[in-house]
Amino acid sequence: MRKLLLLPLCFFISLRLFAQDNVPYAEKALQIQKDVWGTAAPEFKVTTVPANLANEGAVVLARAFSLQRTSKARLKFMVIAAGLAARTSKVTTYHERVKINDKSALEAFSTIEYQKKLDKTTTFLFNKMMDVANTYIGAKIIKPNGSENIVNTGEEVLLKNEQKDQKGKLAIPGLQVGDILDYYITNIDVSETGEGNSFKDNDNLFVLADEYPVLYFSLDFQYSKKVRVQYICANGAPKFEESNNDADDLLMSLKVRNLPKYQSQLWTSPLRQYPYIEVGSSYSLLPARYQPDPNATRFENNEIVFESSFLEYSGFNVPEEKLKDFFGSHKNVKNAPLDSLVKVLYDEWKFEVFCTYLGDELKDISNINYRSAQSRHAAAVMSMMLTDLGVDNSVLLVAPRNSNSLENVYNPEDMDAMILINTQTPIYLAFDDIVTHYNEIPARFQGEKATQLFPTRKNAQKYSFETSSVTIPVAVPDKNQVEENLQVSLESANAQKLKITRVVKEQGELRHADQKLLLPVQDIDDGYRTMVKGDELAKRLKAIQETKKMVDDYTFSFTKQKTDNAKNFTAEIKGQYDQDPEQVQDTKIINAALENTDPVFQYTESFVLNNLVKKAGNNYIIDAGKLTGSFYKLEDKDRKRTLDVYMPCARTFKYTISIAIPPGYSAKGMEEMTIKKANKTGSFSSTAVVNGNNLVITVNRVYTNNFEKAADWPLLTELIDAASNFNSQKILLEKKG
Amino acid sequence: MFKTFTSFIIASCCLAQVFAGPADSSATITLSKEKYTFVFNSKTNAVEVQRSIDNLYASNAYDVDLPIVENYNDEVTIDDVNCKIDDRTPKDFKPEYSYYSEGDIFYSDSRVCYFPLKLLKKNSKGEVTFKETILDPRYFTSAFFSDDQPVTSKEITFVIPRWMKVELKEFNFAGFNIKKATSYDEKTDADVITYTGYNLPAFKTEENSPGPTYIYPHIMVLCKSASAAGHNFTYFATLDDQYAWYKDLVKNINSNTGVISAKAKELTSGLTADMDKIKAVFYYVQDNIRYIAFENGIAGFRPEKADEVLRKKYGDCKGMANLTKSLLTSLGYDARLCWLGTNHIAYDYQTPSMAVDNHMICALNYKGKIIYLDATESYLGINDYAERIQGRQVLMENGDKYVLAHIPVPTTAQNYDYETSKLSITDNDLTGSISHLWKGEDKEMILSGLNSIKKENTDEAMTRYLSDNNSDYVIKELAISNVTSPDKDVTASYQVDMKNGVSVFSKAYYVDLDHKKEFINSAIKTDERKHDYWFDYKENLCRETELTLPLNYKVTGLPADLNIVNDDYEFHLKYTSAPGKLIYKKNILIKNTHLPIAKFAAWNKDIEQLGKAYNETIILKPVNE
Repeated sequence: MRKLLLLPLCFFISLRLFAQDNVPYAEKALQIQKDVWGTAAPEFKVTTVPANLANEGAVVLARAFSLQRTSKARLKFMVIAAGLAARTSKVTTYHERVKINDKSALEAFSTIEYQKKLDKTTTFLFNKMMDVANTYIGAKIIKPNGSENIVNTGEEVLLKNEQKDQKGKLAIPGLQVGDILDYYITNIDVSETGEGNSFKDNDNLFVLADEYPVLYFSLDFQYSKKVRVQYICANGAPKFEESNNDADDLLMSLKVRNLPKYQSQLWTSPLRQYPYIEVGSSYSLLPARYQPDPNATRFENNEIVFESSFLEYSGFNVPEEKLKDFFGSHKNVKNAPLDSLVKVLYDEWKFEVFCTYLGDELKDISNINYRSAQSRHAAAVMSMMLTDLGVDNSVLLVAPRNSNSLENVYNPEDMDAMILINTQTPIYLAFDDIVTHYNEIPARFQGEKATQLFPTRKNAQKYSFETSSVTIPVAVPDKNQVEENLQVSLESANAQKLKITRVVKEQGELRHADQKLLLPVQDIDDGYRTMVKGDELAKRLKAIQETKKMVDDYTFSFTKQKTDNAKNFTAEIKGQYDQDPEQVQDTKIINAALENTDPVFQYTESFVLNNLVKKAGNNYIIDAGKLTGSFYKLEDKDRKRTLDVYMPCARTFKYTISIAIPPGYSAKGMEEMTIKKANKTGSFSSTAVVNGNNLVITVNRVYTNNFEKAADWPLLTELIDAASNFNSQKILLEKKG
Repeated sequence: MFKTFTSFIIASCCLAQVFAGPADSSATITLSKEKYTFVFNSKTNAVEVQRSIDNLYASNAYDVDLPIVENYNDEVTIDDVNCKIDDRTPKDFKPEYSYYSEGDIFYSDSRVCYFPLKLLKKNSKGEVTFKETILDPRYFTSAFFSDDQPVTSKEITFVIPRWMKVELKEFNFAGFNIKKATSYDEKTDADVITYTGYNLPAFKTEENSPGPTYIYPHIMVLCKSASAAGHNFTYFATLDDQYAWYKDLVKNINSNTGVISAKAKELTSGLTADMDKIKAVFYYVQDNIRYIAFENGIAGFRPEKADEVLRKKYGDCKGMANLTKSLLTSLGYDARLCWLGTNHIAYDYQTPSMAVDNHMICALNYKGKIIYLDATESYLGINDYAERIQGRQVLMENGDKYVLAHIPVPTTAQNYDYETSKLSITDNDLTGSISHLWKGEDKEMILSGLNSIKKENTDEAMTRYLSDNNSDYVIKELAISNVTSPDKDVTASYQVDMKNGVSVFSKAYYVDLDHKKEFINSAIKTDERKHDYWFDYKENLCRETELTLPLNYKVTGLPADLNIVNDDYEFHLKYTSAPGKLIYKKNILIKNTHLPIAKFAAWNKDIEQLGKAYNETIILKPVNE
């Protein structure tokens, strides 16, 4: 009981303390030091590490994070009239007590760099808009004999030392392995500018796991009643204890003990698998009706914001307006079959978004292939255009499976949006990377539960929505497929080298990375332009103010990028075989696969690899199993698993490797290459047969699902082991006679 | 590390670190004019060097955004900076000035002035000018011809009044088209020396390459003395002058000798033998003082007080050398400070200059033998010397005079990476026991690695290292001795199961006894590499593997032995068949760490031979076949 009373009291003292704007820095630093160390929880007195953690490089004996945020409106005299400005104060303290057990931890904890002071206060006529941030640090070292040495933070150096901008850096003197470091960092921000007041600006995320063991962790927040607070306790994270003090401030407190360490494992999704807490707050002078609903969840509030983005601004429907040109007349547009209409509209959107240049792309031209669309904006625009065309459509709000879940959306960026058109065969429109196809669902959304919004247009500025939910389908393994065909022979000049001609076909999720790497920017632009019968690059550039004088610039840069792009084939081969290839030649894109109607990305190349052939007397042993590239090999520590398995997608890999048997030689070892393993999580099979003068190896590897429960990990390991065992297989080319 | 002024750092650091990144071909410096004028400043009664830079750029592509970066510090001021693009000053031209963090230096007075040079069109012209003042000629040590971009024409002019004594030394001019012209300006009574270089390639970063003073054409500037306006100045006319300046900097750096003396006694308590005491002191500094460098102003040259380093438990090379010296001196030993340049620097003390040295260590004169103690090498034992200081000339304290000496150059025997294996065939696996031993810089590499990772991950990291990240190389019962002490060799032993280490075809075993194949991928890409290759340190790699033959099996095929021997390196692979067993021995020696471009072709040929030999297997067949 006494403990419960203590905490609000100390916060109250702190707030009064920090409200004093004119206290000199040194004096305030001393006050904070007294406050932080004087009111720390008993756990900050601990000096011993539990025996089971003796081998850890460092142990966090105690960690505390506190945040206080207050706001109040003040009258400010503006140029024309008086107005209200909100002064917000935010005080955060991160306090940690760490036992340093090795040199790695000593290195990590021995220096600190910080923005000591940043004063962005502006003055105009009678008005002064305060915007000041100060940082105060403190540290003490507890030696193994129990002696405590308070670090003189005055030994800091200032990397920047201006009146309004100071950056500090401190090397902790006297710190050694075996010591306990007890340090804190306090930030005090006071602002009247109105900036930085949103939930997003004040978002704090605490994952309840750490790289070091943490024995005790406390979180304490205090918010004045005018500050709106929303938080999420995700994946089983404990909830705050909430109360109010006499000033009606909201107090939130949480204490956690024995935080686990992160587990570094294959195929995880940390924000789905570790408990975490996300806390944010906002302050606004706007009337309550314009502010987030305090009784709604963060997702619901973000959904409301998304719905309010359905505003028909001038030019929002450029792709729709181009339909007439494509189809020849409004009548043709009207009479076009639904899937054809939607497809062309989507292509027009893609051309508009990815093939419009703004004059700033040439600094890093390869980056053009790595741009992504803003899905929420694009989905809203597409939905409005489809509605205008009379196409019933819905918007899906979805959180990527490699990030937070939909129910744990905190900020707008935590979710994406797609379009679903429910016809006999549903049509999905995703607004993602530059090579995403019509009716292709990005792998990271597959299998996710989405909120489905059915829009109804009231007027240009208002849409209403019916809401439902839907689960996004998961692509079958064959839709995410790599198929490789290799023609392999011993190099005539040096039989210990392999000459390889490789043809690669990729589709679905597995084509994206190579498409973006290997397709020249010019080819993508040409492809999308042809798709919609769009304007030539020069005409498009001339139509935009920023680029109208840059036709030569883009033409030159696109051509140069295409020439330079050839080296990316070498990078791709190196990535596949983990060695620098020699004599890379005949590189060619066979099919760019920019269209969903021709969806298989296909390219070819030839090259020479080293160190895959061993001479054995007159014979040769080929590391044939390595010609697929390396498959993942499990280590002993990977075999036990408690975390569910988030794979990138369900997928299939097929290889056909034809090795030319030199005249006078025969092949041996095919039996060992015949492997077959299958279970509900997938399959692995391989065969090797002699066909005339060639040894033909086929490999088929399938992961059936994109998600497996941890309980089924042993089944997955069977397949992973089978594949990695294949990697070890060899073929003997034996000299006859 | 010490700091000096060198002109090559213009436009090459901060946003792009010094010599960082590939050579930039997006623009060319068509004409660069750099001028250095020695002047007497009557207000400060000091000689200064006025520097002007005028670079003309032409873009080779569109939307080229070059970071223009100019260093300055307490001894160099930037007085004026201008930029023009196609003859107009850009509207948004606003040079920024900020702190610059250099390498592993915690804090220094290095600052940068930077701004972007935006050349929007192909063949756009940019012009950048700086006017600077070097406040003390001692800090003016060199002028480089190359830049981050290729330079079509570079003019470096020195205006040296006859009251100023300066020597200019040319470095790395061979192979470059650089001309020199000298004239006399009566008006200023000055010699005007102009160097003009043509078609100079851009700086290019390459791993394991020599320092820039070995590679790029430049002029070393030796400011000796001046007699101006009735004032006489002596800079570094001779090495005596340089030593006197250094000596003056270190004369009052040991104040609280009581603390040092007490610590020295504590460290050597119970020890009687001199060498035990010396080791106790040296290893204490190595193990307990973190390397953190402060090079703020004169702190770049003056060591921190020994008692302060002891209190803070951190320091730079100077602080660590001074603490080592102070502790040893307090015990009655003859210990001294030594200045030296590491092998990153092409110069030695024949050319007195602050550019000659960048490091400080302690020398112990013990019974007439000099032992050099470099505590910044955290895991090298006493009498072992790091490659970077081997053979380097040192300027050693000797009262008012100095001693010039050289750090010994150990043979390859200092470093040792030894592995012995006893293996047998179990199904398709090779199984058995393996022992390792590391000495010298190999040991330092192992210990540095182990101590840079979390304690709880040590075994996993060591397993990855020993298996060469090969998960088919399964290690069990790993035991590592001595993971902290630099005074002892490091050993490791373990049981191994090399999965699929044997290929079986028709009862015949095909065995590959070499699973590491060191240097197999060490061929140098001669079409890309521009500079000599310098190995990290001398290699002495030995492997001895004994394979017990399976019962009723005989050796039917052995790879041929390989012996490549020259003055720089040796590769030896040898297979010996004995009753019931087979012995494979490998010895790779890198005797000369410097591999010049001229020897790349031979090196690649030898690496190819090594690769071929590695890729041959042993054949074992049943005795009755």
